[in-house]
Amino acid sequence: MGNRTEVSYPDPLKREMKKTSSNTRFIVAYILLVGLPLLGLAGVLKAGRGLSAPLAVDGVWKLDAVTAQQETQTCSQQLAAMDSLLTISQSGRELVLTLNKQAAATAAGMIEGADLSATFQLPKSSPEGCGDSLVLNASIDSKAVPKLMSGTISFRECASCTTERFHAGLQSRAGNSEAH
Amino acid sequence: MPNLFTLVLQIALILFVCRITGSLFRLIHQPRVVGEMFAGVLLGPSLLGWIAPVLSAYLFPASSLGYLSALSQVGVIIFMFLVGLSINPSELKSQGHAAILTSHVSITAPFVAASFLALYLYPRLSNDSVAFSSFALFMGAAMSITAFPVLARILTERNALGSRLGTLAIACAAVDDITGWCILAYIVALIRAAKSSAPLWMTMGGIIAFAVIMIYGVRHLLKRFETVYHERGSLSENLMAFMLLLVLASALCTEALGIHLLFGAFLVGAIMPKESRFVRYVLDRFETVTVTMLLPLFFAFTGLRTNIGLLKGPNMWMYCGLIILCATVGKLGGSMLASWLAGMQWREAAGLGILMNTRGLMELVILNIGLDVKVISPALFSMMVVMALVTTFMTAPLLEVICPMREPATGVEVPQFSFGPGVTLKAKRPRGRLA
Repeated sequence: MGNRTEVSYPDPLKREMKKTSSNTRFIVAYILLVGLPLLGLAGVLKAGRGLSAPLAVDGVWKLDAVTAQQETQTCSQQLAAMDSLLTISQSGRELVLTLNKQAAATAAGMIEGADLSATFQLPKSSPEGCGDSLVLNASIDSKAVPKLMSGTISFRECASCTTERFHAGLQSRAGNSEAH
Repeated sequence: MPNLFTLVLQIALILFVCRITGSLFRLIHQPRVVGEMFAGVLLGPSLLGWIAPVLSAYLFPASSLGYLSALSQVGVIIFMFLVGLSINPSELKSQGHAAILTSHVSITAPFVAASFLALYLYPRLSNDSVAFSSFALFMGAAMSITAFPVLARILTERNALGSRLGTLAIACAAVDDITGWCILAYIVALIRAAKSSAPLWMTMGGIIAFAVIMIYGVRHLLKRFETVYHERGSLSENLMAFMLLLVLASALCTEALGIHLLFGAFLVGAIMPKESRFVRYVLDRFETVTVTMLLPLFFAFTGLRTNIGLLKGPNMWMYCGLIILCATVGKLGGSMLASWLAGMQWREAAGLGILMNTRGLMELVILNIGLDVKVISPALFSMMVVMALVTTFMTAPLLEVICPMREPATGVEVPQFSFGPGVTLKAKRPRGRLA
C-alpha cells in the first residue's frame, strides 16, 4: 500500500488528455464567467420593468399665455412680455430651465410627480423692487398630446407683485442634440 | 449660411488648444489623444463657460454649433471606418481559448455590472420616456467598450505590442468593439423603432439583410482594392474617392435603416481586406486630416455637451463615483480574473485588465449617440464622460506600476501586422492554461 505506480502514456495520448482537460476547464470557466452573468442580466432586465422614473418634461415648451393681472405694474409687465420658449434639460428629477435659449436666463428646477418647480435668478438689469428671483410652479398634464404645463410665476421678494398664471405646450423633445 | 468667421475661429482655437494640451499630456507619459479629450472638456461649459461665460458665448454661440457638429460627425464617420479597417477579429482564433474567454468575460462582466447599477440609477437619472431595458443595455454597452486605437497607441509607446499581453489585449479589444457596436446597433434600433411607424422586426430585418449583403457581396468587391494595390503599389485618387463613397453610402444606408451613420462606416472598415501593407496604406491616406483636424472638433463638440456643473451636490458625485467604480471593477476585474483563470500570472493578468479598461475616444462616440437618441440624460452623459476620462487616464500610470515599460527588443524577428492608426503590431502566440 502506498506505492503509487507511474503509468506512462505514449506522447500523443498525453497530449490528447491534456487537451481534453484544457477544454473541460475552458467550458466550466466559460459557463461560470459568461453564462451565469448573462442569466443575471436577464434577471436584472426583468426586475427593472417594475421601476418607475420621473415624468419626462425635457424639451422646448412654448409659453403662450402669461396673464398679468396688473399690467400697469412694471414687474407684471415684465412677466407679460414672456411669450417665449422655455427649454428644459432633464436629468432624473433635476431640471435646467432656460428662457429663450439665453444662458443668462437659466434656472435650476425639480420635478416631483407631475409638479415642477424652479427659481430663476433675475439679472441685475431687472426693474427695481421686483426682487432678485422669479419662482415658477407648475403641474404637467402628461395625458394631453402634446404635454401641457400650467402654473404660476411670481416674484419672490416683491410684496406688491401678484402671482401670474401661465400655460405652456411641449413643442418638441429637443435639446440633447445641441450642446449645452 | 454659417458665419464662416466664427467657424474658422472655432476650428483654429480647437486645434491650438488640442495640440497644446496633447503635448502637455505627452510630458506626463499620456497618449496625445487623452490630452485632446481633456481639451474638449476645457473648452466647454465645464471650464471656459464657467470661468468666462461671455467669452464662451462669443466663441461658441449656440447658433454656430450645428456646423461644428456636422464637421465633427464627418470626422467620426471616417474615423470609425479606420477603426473597422484596423481591427481583425480573426486574430483571436490564433490566440486560443485564453483570448476567447478573456474577451467574452471582458464584455459580460462590465455589462452585467452596469445593468445592476442601472437598477439604482434609472429612477434617479433617467425619465419615463426611456424604457429600463434600453437604459440598462445602453449602460452595459457603454461600459463594456474598449478604446481600440488608444490601446494600440499605449502598447506601441510601451514597446509591448509584441508581448503576449499586447497581442491578447489587442485581440480582445477588437472582439469587444465589434460586440459592443452590435449591441449598440440593436439598442438604437429598438429606441428609434419605438418612435417610428415601422415595426421593429422590419428594422431588424433590414439591418440583417444589409449586413448579409455587405459581408457576402460587397466584401468581394472590396477585395479588388487590395488586388489593384498589389498590382500597382498604390491606389489612384479615383479609387480612393470610390472607397470613401462606399463608406458614405454604407453610413447613409444604416442611418436610413434606423440605426446610425457610424455603424455603416464601421462595417465597411470591418469587411475590408486585412492584408497588413494594404491596411497601412489606406490608413496613411485617411488618417492625417481625420486625426489632426476632424477628431479634435469632435472632442470639442463633446466637451461643449459635457457640463460638469450639472453634477451638483454630493449625491450626483456619488453616482459618478459609482459609475467609475462599476466600470473599473467590471472591466478591469473581469478581464483580470478571466485571464488569470486562462493561465496568466497575476501581474500579467492585472496588466491586461488595466489595458482593457481603456475607453477613450470610442466611449465618447458611444456616449454622443446615447445623448442623441436621449437614452441618457445630460447629467449622466457628463458622468460617463468623466468616467471615460478617468479610466483612460489611469491606464498608463497603472500599467507602469504593474508592468514597467520595457526597452525595445532588438534582434527579435516577429511577424508584423498593421493594427490601428500609426501602429504596427508584432504578434506572438500566447500560451496559457486554457490555450
